[in-house]
Amino acid sequence: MREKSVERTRLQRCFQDLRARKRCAFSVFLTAGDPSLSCSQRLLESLEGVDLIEIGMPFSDPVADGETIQRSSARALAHGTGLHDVFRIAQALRKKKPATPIVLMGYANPVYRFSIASFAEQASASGVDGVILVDLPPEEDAACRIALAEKNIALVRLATPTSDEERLKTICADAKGFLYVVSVAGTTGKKQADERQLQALAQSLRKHTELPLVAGFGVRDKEQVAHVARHFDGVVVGSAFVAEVAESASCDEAVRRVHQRLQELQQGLPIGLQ
Amino acid sequence: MSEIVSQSVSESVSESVSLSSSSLPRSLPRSLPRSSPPLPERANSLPNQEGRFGAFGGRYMPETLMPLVLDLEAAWRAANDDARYWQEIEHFSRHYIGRPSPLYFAERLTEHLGGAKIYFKRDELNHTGAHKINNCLGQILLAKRMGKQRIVAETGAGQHGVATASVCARFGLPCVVYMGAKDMERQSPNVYRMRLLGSKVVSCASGSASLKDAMNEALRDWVSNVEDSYYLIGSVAGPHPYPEMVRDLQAVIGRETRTQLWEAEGRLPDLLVACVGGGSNALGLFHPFLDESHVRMLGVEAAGKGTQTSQHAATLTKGSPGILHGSMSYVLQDAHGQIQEAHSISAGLDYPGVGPEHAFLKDSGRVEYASATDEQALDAFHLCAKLEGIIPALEPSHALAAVVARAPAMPKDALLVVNLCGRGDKDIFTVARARGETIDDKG
Repeated sequence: MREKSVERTRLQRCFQDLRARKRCAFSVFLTAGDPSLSCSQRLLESLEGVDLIEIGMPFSDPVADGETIQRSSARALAHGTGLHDVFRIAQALRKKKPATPIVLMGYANPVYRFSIASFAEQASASGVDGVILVDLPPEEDAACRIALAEKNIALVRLATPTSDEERLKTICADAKGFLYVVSVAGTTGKKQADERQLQALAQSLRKHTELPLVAGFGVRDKEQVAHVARHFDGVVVGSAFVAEVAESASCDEAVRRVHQRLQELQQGLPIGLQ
Repeated sequence: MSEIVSQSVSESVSESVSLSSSSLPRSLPRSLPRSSPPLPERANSLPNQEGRFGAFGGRYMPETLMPLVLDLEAAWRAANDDARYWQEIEHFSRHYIGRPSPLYFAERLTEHLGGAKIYFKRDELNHTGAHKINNCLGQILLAKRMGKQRIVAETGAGQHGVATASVCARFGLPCVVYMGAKDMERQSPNVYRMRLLGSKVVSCASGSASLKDAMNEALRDWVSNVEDSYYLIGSVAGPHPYPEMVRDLQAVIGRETRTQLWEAEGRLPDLLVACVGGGSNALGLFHPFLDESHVRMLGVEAAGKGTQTSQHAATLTKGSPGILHGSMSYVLQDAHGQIQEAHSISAGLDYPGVGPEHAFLKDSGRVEYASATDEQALDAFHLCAKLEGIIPALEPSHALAAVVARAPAMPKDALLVVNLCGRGDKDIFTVARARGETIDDKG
């Protein structure tokens, strides 16, 4: 699966193509193993018209997540979902969707326990394009960043409303793939930023990086999608989909509900650009 | 904050200490296991600028909190260098906390065990009943300096929560304390105390519903209230600079012990013993002695129902290196890197992590770590109450259990100091339940 460095990565192709079409990337986050391994795989494979897919690696102590994703992680862990399962799901998804970037998102400890080198190896073999570890700030990310870069995988850094100019310089210095913009100071799926704040955040970030800016944390309706899409290169919705999965009585229902929610939220993307 | 100790201290120290445990090397610092890294020239110079104690420590925080953690570090450096900050701490330590706490010769326990001379460092006599307030005082003064408007804290046994609630009342800041639902039940007197002091206590029902989950919720609160809130961590855990800052604010325990034991005995101790949950009372006692290689140290973790079972909190004894709550340290985790639930009869030790400096001190061989079961701690609790007329908290009862095991085999002229870091008022319901008794209004 390794690409030559002269070739564009899947992430670069994705964002360049969308930029050429003046479109904002729509990204979906779902937790691996929730509600079951087979159903989460089916859910991910059923996503239509999604430009970038984020697969959550469940962790026992997700301090950056709100209740919805906390409970989702707990459900996945209750039947023993581990990184091997995450890689199996990613690999199957890669076969179904050869061009869609796949990003794994989670916390550092399971990766360290797995061993950073093996993690990079397996992620590469599974066709993963990027990794987000929310508790691994630039101060601590060198080992992971370098190991992943050797496999042509981007360790995606986060920027937040608390990042001042100095901090943004640090974050952007070695950022790869895209910048994951935490749109509100809070946990996932709780607060919402207003459009003025989003615009200001995007503007200050663009001074520091050419990388695509993808905003998440607190985007759950089509109005919010529209606000983000006007200022960012991508928008991530997680908790809203995870909540649909949680409320479903069967996998069929979960697939149906996620599909409906996806269609509804994608209406928020600017008209004429879809 | 200079240490009042004579240069000739080490000359008068007895070299002939023997302990009942064969696991404690005879001359610890000079015969480290070959696999261990060498001791640093000056243990006191750790952590380094990245907040590292060797391989441990660091700042594993969500990016939203990184600017706050860096701000805190700068504010701590400035305060640390400001004599007025330490003068303020000394003033309130004396008049509000009641420091110095006595160093008490436990004559009856010493006689009963028939070995080393046992001293209690009486930090349970502090205002609010534990060592926790030493740290809370320093941090609330720092929060005031930083202009923070609201305090967030986690608590296990409720001692840190009560201490935080007290300083928040005293310095006029609103306070929210997160506490595991299980801990709220077993430490109900402390829950009510916090409420009486004007704090809001929020129950955390997820996971093991104890300290780990309270810390998760406190971090989520902090990440959601970044503009005005100060996170007042209660142990030598969390991201840099907390492990360093909390240690330095607790080191008053060890500094006083040096002076007091010098006055009483004319020399330094042979063995220091303290319980370790996150590890703040232990580091507070140990740290001012780390450079004296002849002073041995024993940290005692909670073995719960036994370290051979899954129900214990012996992180250093049974855990492995990992990342939890902002730092790299030992953690209790499964093969997938998921954090496991800890168990201890003592809510304050019921934590699957430990401060990163303890991880470093374990791997370097400078400090020995052992564990005591629920049952051993309860036995030591009763022994201390009966012989010394002191009801200790269940946390230091673990340290006392190790004293009961080790002291008899030590020579009579050996000096042992155990940190009695909390009093047992809060634990009477738990102890009664363990004895199959109930306490009602009629007593």
